[in-house]
Amino acid sequence: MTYKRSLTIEICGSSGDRSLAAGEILIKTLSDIGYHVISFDAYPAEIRGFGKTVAHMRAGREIMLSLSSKVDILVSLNDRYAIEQLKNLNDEGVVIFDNRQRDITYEVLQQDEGQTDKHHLGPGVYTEEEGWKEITSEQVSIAGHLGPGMYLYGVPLYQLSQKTTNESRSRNIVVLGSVAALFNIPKNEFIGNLTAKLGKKDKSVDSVVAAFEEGYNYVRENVVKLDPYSFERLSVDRKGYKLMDGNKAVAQAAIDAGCKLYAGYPITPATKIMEVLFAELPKHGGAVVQTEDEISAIGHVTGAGFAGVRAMTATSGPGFCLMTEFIGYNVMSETPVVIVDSQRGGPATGLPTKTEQSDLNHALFGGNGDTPRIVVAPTSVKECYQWTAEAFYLAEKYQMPVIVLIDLFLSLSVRNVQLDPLPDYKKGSNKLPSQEDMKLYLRQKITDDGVSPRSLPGQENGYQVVSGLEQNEYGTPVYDEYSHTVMTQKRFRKIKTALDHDVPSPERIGQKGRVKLGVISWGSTAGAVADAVDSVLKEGKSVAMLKLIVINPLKEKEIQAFLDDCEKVLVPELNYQGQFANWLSIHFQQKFLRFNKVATRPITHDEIEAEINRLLKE
Amino acid sequence: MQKKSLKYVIIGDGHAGNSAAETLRKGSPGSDIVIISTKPTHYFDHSLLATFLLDKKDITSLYVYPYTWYKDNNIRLRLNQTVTKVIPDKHELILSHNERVYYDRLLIASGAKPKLPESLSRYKSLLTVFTDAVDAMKLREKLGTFRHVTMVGGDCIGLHLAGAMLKLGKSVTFVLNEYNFWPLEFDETVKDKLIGCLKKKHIEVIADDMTTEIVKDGTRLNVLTKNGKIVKTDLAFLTSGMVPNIDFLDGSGIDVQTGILVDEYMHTSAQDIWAAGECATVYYPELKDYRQTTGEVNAKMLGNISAKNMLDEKRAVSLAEPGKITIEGEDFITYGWKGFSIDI
Ligand SMILES: Cc1cc2nc3c(=O)[nH]c(=O)nc-3n(C[C@H](O)[C@H](O)[C@H](O)COP(=O)(O)OP(=O)(O)OC[C@H]3O[C@@H](n4cnc5c(N)ncnc54)[C@H](O)[C@@H]3O)c2cc1C
Repeated sequence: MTYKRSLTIEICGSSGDRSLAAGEILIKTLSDIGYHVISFDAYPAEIRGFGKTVAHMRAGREIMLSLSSKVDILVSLNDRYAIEQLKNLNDEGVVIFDNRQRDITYEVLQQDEGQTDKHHLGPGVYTEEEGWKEITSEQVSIAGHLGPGMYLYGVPLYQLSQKTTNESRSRNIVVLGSVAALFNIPKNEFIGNLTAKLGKKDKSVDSVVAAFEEGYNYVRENVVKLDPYSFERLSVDRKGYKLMDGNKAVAQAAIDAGCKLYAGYPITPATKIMEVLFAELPKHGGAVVQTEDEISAIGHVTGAGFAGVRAMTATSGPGFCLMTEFIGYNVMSETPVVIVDSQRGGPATGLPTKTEQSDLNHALFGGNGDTPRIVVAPTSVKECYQWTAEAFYLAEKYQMPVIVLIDLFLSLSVRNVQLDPLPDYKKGSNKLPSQEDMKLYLRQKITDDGVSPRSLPGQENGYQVVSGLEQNEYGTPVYDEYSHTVMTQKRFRKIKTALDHDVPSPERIGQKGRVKLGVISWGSTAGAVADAVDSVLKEGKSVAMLKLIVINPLKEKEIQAFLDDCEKVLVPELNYQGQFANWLSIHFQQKFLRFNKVATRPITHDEIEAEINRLLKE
Repeated sequence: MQKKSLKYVIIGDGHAGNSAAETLRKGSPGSDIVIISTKPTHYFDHSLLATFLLDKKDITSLYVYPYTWYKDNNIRLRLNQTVTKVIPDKHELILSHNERVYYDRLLIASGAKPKLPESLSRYKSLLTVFTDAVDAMKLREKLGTFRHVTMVGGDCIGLHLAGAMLKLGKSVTFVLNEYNFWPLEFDETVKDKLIGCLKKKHIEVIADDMTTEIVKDGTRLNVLTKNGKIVKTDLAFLTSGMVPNIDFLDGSGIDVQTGILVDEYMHTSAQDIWAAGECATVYYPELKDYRQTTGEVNAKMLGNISAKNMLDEKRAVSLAEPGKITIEGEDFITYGWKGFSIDI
């Protein structure tokens, strides 16, 4: 790649244009030739007929953990929608469009729902809300909307698609050929991925490959390339890398960590976790239950946890709310469960297809009573894998709910990652009773580390009463001051033990020693912060970042040491209240500068960079 | 002053088009101004093309304005887009990608293209053109692959290019035909003087002859002349003068002869359409006749006058000051060309 550290590409079309499929092939190819990639597609919130879909990806030589606000290359499969994307295109960005559309107004009418009789009323679109709206071809062709520094390349996508496949739907493949030729992406890799995606080897595959070749050759023969962008093959080996999104990583971690029951109710953006497990978990001796609702899902998982089986549910904000009662129950009954919450815009049903980090308060505090729980928030797809697996280990070891907080961005963004195999000891962490313990089995035995040996159902003499009531050491329901005090202390002691034994120190990135500005970040936003810090460090700025994955319990000593090094501390997050900054404020006597957005999209590295630079100037 | 809401469309991103856009913007700050151009490159200075071959500068070094100039002046640029039809009755243009663009007032400043003599049309694919920034870019990429070039015809573009070729150590042959030294004004004595100057520079000149055939000979070419000469060469440049670029006006009803006929106010025969630069055949009151124009000086001046008229300020044209081309210290007069020196 030339000119820039990374390039961001968008393929924009209407739902029928298969721009996402093209994006998948492109990102796979870029990954195969050595680039780090990250993608995050956008699709309409309303699930109905046609709408704008945008395959959005960033590729670079160095690892990237976030998206850019600006796009470098915009591929239009539907000009009307792509025009809206132009506002994000760099001043010197590239646009590829269909330069031989049959009749632009006709195309538009074809793609819209409702009445399409253009002869009757002239070119226009009919929508129920607005009736007929006249559209001129100037409005619907992207060619007239570019900024003066942008590069426009035309390829007869429609014609070449018709020529090779007898249909217009292969425009997405023709355009991939053109992209390959324009940006010097090796052709063979592309064709390999194309045929692999299509699956079968028959005549139809040949015609699709022909469509790709036509797009490629057209550019080679007709287009004068003036922009500075290209993706030559890099000499790095990415053999061990896999392309996956956060949902897939969570599901894979569950399988590898020995999860035997997944129960869940479909909800955007977590549904795919269940879909992957439906296909895969049975092959590993596990079961998946689609329950009637989220309460039932966590009920199933609690039952499995009680039975000594690793179990997980995944949901999003609204479903997580329904599970709240069980969080308390799991705390009280000391039952291991793993709950994955992929956050989306809230409250209530909120913004189902938009990302946010606003369930933190709920994850930390949701439920009645004093309810200790472990909360972890992976910051990347790779960490989705590591920390979901870790969640099973922690839940089992400390007999409590572990909440894995991800978000829509992590759930759906695809990256190429190399997963490290899980160490064996992580695969079984039950503290089982010894023979001595079994002489007089105390389910809630008071211990130094707070963890009581746990008998599993069927164990001789290991029977126990399980309920949501307070209990004494025998597990018998009690209501007295002494029992409630020592049991509450015991439950919180487990958190302290986990902190001392199993919570790693947060990672510090950037300048060592005293810095002008420190940034503390959590969850997916940490990716944008890491990219921004990396960039300002290259400019010699005095900045460091602390990345927190374990949100509860907090490594207070290490965090305090970081705070002591910083003149100012910034906490960026994707929620309105500054929920994480508030959480830190409970623990540290410190003023935290906030950078809060409810942007319906991930915070980008350039936004953080701008904020860092602004604060450094103050 | 103009009404605010007019939409001015200019076909052509050359000297004429840009000078018109600048004048229009000054005279009508609130109007829409759109420039459409077939070329993917920005408005560039042709007189720099020869020296561009000599160094490694970026193509943007040829550009007259940075793209921010268009942003600052709120002029919409549509590069790499071709007008295929003008429909005066509807005030509409059709672009090759099937888009229809509306205009209130239109300026056609589509320049000229190399003239391909009828007898050589079969050899088009063997001829190299050198008329714009992309041609220069492509030629620069293959400089190492040839040693001898032949100018088929002897126009000023050939002279301009010959200067650079000599500097690069290439040998040059001119095969002159009836279009020799277009658009220089000269009689036979001037012609002989010019040929003499070229020979002093060790340029071979085959005069009073014409190219009849071009034949591939392995990786090289043989240029055959009417008088039986065979020039063995690596590249044959088409340098037989330029003709207005107006094919897209076929069927539009706009009067054309060699170029688009315009009156002294640069107005064409169609309502709300003006034309300027090398595509126009202009009526000069001083000459009481029409004249085909060429060169940077002319194009800028005519673009500016057209824009004034489009803004309803009635301005008539006058002849441009002649320019000169210098070869071996001798000056030769041109009309409208700012001029250049082959002694680079
Ligand atoms: C190599 C070379 C060197 C030269 N050196 C000199 C010199 O030293 N001094 C001098 O005075 N003159 C020189 N000239 C001549 C001078 O450049 C031209 O006379 C001048 O550029 C004419 O300006 P114009 O605006 O009329 O046309 P141009 O500058 O040719 O611009 C024409 C424009 O119209 C556009 N266009 C054409 N058809 C269409 C269409 N159908 N749809 C959309 N857009 C279209 C083109 O893309 C282009 O932007 C040189 C020319 C060449 C080729």
